[in-house]
Amino acid sequence: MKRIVALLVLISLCIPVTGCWNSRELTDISIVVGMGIDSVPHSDDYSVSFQVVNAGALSTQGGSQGGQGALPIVTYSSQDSSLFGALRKASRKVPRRLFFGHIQLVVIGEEAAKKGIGDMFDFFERSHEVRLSSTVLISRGITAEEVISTVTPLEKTPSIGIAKKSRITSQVWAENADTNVKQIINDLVGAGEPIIGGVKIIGDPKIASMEKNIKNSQPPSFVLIDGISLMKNGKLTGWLENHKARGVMWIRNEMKGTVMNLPCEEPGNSETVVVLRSKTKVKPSLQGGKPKFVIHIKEEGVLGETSCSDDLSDRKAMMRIQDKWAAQIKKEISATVKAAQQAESDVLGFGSSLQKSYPKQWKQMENNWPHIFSESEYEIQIESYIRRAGMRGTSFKRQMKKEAE
Amino acid sequence: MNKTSSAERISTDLELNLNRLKTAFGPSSDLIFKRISFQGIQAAAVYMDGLIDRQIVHDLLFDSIATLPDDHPNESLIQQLMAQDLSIINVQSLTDLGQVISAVLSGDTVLFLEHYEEALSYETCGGEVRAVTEPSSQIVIRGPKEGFNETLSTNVSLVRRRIRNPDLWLETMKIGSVTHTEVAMMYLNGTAKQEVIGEVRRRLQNINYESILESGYIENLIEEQTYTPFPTMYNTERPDTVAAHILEGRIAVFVNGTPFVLIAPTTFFMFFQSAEDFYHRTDVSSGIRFLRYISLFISMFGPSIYIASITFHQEMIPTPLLLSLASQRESVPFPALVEALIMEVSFEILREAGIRMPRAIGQAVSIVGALVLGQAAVQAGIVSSAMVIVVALTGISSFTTPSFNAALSIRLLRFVVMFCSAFLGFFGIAMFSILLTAHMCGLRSFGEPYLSPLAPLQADELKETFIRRAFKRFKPALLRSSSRKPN
Repeated sequence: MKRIVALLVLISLCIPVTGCWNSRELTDISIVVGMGIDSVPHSDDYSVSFQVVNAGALSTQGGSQGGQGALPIVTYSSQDSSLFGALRKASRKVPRRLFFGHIQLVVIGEEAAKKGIGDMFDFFERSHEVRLSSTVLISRGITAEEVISTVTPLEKTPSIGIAKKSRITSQVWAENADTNVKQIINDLVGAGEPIIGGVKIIGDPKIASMEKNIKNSQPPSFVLIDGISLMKNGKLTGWLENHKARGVMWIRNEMKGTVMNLPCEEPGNSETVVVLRSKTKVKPSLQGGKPKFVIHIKEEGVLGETSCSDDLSDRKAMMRIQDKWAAQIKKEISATVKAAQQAESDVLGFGSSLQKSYPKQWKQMENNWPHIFSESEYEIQIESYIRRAGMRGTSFKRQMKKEAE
Repeated sequence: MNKTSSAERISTDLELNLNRLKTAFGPSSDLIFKRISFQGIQAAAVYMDGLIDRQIVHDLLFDSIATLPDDHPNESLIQQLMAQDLSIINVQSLTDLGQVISAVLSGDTVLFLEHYEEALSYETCGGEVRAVTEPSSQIVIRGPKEGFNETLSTNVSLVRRRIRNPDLWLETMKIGSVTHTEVAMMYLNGTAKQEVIGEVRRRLQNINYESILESGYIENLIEEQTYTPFPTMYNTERPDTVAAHILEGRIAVFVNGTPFVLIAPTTFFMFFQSAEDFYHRTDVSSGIRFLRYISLFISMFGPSIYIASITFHQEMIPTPLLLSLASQRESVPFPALVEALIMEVSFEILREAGIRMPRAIGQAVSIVGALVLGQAAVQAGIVSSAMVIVVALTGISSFTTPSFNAALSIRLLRFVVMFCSAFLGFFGIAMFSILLTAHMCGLRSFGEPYLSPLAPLQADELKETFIRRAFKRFKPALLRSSSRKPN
């Protein structure tokens, strides 16, 4: 009996002997919500910057220090030839252990992206702590550190705010791609190129990191999501903007909603169609060794706004709008494909669809794919349906016109 | 006291008998001797004032006995008295002093007669008892509001009224070498398993203890001798609960002097069933039962999950919540475990104080408790608001357990899990759960596995445990022995 008790005591002593495993009190960690990766000019080092939450400033209960009035985030940066090294080196500046389990945003500097993004992402996949679901953006015209240092109104932690911006705009305006680390790694390994959204600061970046940026109802500087990257073999080569960027989302079957303006019969007025659902199928075929892609898009939309004066109760009027709409989409998508082909950057997913359908031929083409892509043929087929016209049929403008006569 | 007198036979000398009794009982002034004489014989009635019903004794002595007609001068007086029709009072004849002492202590009136070697004992027990009122624990909204009281015969009768079946057998015995407390076993013959009945009887008879004041003593003395935090016998104050369990084949143990009746054997899930579940509709009852199991989980693991998430697994908490928690904990100087212990211990102190506090200041203390513990501690920066919420939720969840003694066990276990989670995070909680489950699976209550019908699995009964089935399909089969056919 005594031996059993002694054995049990010994076994239960094993529990505290582990030294509490990897216990970390919340007050011992600083939560990193955003990370920026820049390249140091004239060297191969990375300059990594971290946006760390100042928990005390977020506090709503009394008795906290670092209290009210302080900014909700603090930024630190450090340089080293590897990402992990830069992380650990930052411990010389940061008063607590950095905790990466809640990273929301990763910003890559334009210069670093031009040098190639392939090397950066190994750290993300290997680390057990870093999230693979964080949004990735490339900064345009400014360094990633400047983006990471901005304070934004409305959202206390700017990284969460910028990540939300990217996600929402890709769903309602669709001129931006909301990609996360995992998708980028998949695209880098796969047949095409990854698409990454761009981010700019409108206004003075210096003011963007100061308190007066949030104490103003019209903030002097704010963050803007703009454009989709064009890459070749993982290196940034250019940007697609505005409607061309929208075409990319269409072709990749990632279009969730957007708004298109169509001109009327009478000049100066336009009507607006809101895209509700969109489904794209890209069918590859080989014609004499050269690939041809048929892009088939099925769209459903709703009439959102109109300043035209057609009679919407007439079925033919709706059919006309549908055709106008289909033509507009075709124009935009052609422009996109041309621009991508010109940059020899397959951001459209053509390579992966070809690889799925013709794996043997793909093996011969894959090394030269950017070039072959730029010379591929394509055909666009659009099926568009306008389901409803909102809460009102014919616009009241028609009645106004009648009374004026 | 002079114990040798108990084996002595009653003598024909009245005074000698009375003196022996006086010696045995010492100066006890509630032992009353009433001398009467009738038919030319000296007699004395002895009774313990307080244990008897005075009206019955009066009628007995002065109406029935004193007016015994002098018709049969040849028959012994004892026989005449015994033959007398005294309606419902039982008459017994006793031969030795030990029996007399025992009878007097049970509330009987013993009649000694000069020149006779026998004494007659009349059953006249009565005295002040508490009325049958609503039970103080295990209150239901719908259902009978009768609760047991401290008298064994009343309690037994309350159950008899519900099961009017001759197969409801009652075995009484006296346990406790000093207190001689009356203890009774009740079961439905043919439904309860013979092995279990035998085991309960054997354990009761083997009790070698001086005083039995409450059913808790019996519980401690006859339950399984393994080290376990869980109770292996169920207790209840409600006759309908006892009747329901007897009908399922369990055995009820009544103890004189306490309204709490023990039921054996017990399964873990019995502690989470309330009588009310069977009086309401099935869907409502199933929902409430689910709620009880969820509350069980919260009350056992609530603070531990909080500690584990905050200290080891911060990545599992959604980011906005984590930022809010981090901002709350900025001002707290203690690690999460210490904070949790402070709050939990304070809550337990409050709870215990609340039970024993006089009603007049009950309100004041609850206000002080809420204000001091909650608000002021948070503002002083001793604990964080989230911890107060967790502790309050845990505390309230622990009250949903219908059975108080199971709730006590879980309260204790909660502290153990907190330590496990503080050392090893979720892994510690998982380890503890596995150990606990293994322990419970091996636990038996009078031969019945503790986690039945979950382990060993009886799929049919399982539906009754977690939810309630409609009555059409309801067949209590738990400890059914083969001789009884299902309805």
